[in-house]
Amino acid sequence: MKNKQKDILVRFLVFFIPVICIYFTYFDYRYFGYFVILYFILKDIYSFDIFINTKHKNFYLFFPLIFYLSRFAYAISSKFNTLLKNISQSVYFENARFLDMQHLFLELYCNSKNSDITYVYKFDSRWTNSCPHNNYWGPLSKYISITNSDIWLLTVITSFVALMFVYLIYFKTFRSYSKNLDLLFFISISPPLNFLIDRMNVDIIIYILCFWILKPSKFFYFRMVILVLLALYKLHPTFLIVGFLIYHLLINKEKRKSLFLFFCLFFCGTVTLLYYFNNDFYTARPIESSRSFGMLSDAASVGLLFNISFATSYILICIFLIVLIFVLKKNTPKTVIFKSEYIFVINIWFLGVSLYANYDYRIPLLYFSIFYLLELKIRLLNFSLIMFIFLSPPPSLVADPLYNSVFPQNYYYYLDISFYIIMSYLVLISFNTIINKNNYQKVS
Amino acid sequence: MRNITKTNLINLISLTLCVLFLLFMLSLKSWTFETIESIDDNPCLFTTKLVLKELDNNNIITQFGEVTIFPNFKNLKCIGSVIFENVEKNSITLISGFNKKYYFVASHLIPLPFFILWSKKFINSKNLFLNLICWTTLIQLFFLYFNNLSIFNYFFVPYIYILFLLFDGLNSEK
Repeated sequence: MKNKQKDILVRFLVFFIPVICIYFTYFDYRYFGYFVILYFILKDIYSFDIFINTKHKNFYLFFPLIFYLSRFAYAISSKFNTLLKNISQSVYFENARFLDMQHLFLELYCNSKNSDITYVYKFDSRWTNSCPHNNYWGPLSKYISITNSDIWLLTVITSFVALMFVYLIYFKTFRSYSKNLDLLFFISISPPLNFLIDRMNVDIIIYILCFWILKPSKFFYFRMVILVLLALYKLHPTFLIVGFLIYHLLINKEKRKSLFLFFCLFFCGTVTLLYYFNNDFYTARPIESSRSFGMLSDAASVGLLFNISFATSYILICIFLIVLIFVLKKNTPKTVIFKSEYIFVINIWFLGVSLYANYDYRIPLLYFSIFYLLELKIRLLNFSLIMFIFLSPPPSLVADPLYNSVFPQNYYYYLDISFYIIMSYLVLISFNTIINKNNYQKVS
Repeated sequence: MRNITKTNLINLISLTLCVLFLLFMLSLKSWTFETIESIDDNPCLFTTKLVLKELDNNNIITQFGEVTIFPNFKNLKCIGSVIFENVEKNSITLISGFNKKYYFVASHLIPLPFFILWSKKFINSKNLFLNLICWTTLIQLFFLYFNNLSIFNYFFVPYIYILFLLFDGLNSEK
């Protein structure tokens, strides 16, 4: 009976998934993530894989490209505002296109000598900035400059190139994988990646570079120098260096590399701190629960909700996390470890950034380790990853369009338990990897 | 035999409380049709949705304001209703009631006791889902229909599934 149900379901999904994906991505993106979660619940119950030998394989290979090109096309004219809104989520939608990339080039132009410009962002006149302009990203963002004042042209060209690289990553991965192609397809148009390409934050460049930097190669020191530059530009890649340091110090025990990484970390820390102390400098702290993740972000929301101090709410969240780690420790075998360097490093990065607050467009970096995590076959971790990815940012809670302009996006707060489950498992597996270093498979 | 009795007792208590809670909420609701003109007399009788439908939405400034429901349980009816209105020359300001704490606690904590009872084998899977459907549907219905707020909690189904996997893992460990 169950097999018959499964057959009917698979036939239905094979035919309808392309239709459903086109509808949700182009006409009502807010339900896309929710649809993917329901798909994976069904997959968990019925254990099917509709992406193997499917007739529609070319659709899954090229649809993300069409999606990215559509996003790009919608960005080049203000006439496409409504279309752009349909393929975005209301929690972050702005009429301004590639907002963070425009911020980036405005700052770079303002860094040059004798620059004086009042720039009206395309295509939203509410966004108007003049020199001097600060993005408050990292020390290096204040030292690089450009002389070309055509910020929009630079934004369009860079965004197009970035989109093509994002697709190239998908294309190469799709061609090299034989299983979990459904998840790969869904994450190529997932809410965090959609948010990232909507904003075109510098994180997209970090995401693209990390695809090549994190994989093992002969050019270790060169890769680390690039990471240092990225860390000085956007700060959070510092945790990637921390990951490499822990790996080479405690697991691989390579003194030369450890010493170099320690020097890199020391250099990044010193430059950043000196810059902090000598300038009126601070970093953005995303606390809007509807489009951010991290313990700091949750602590701010919990503090506001229960009218308790920020420090108290952060401590309460830490206690909750520790309890969860001990609860999950019982059913996590000690043999479950990260078997490659870059998987370990990405997960240490994720644990590091999770301690504070981040916009959801930072999640795509975790995609590089997700297929490995799925292979661990821990159902709770797998489903938590899917829930975390496809509900970040979440759809607007307002189901009735009448309330669209009424209900504030951040009015309601929901504790994303999947995020804490992922953190707990990553802490446990990282700890297991360090403890069981003798069982570690060295990847050359 | 003792387990069957225990399960039946838990189901009976749960369903009785569920029905009592539903009756309590229904008792707060006014079933008579009111017109917008009488907002001044008793603002809590009007759902924001009803008011927005009747008025020109462009000229209305709408906000959500916290309503206290403990110990004043009767204020439950103000959730989703207009609790303050101010008419000026060209605009109308409406503040609708909400209680974030109630919704946060209800959404997160109500399913938990049933999962704990399930993990302790006091109730079986069938009864777990029966109780979950009763209670969580009631809470969702309250926000979706009773006060017409039209909030849809997208986290709800994945949250229940995560709890199921979590407690299922703890069960298998035992």
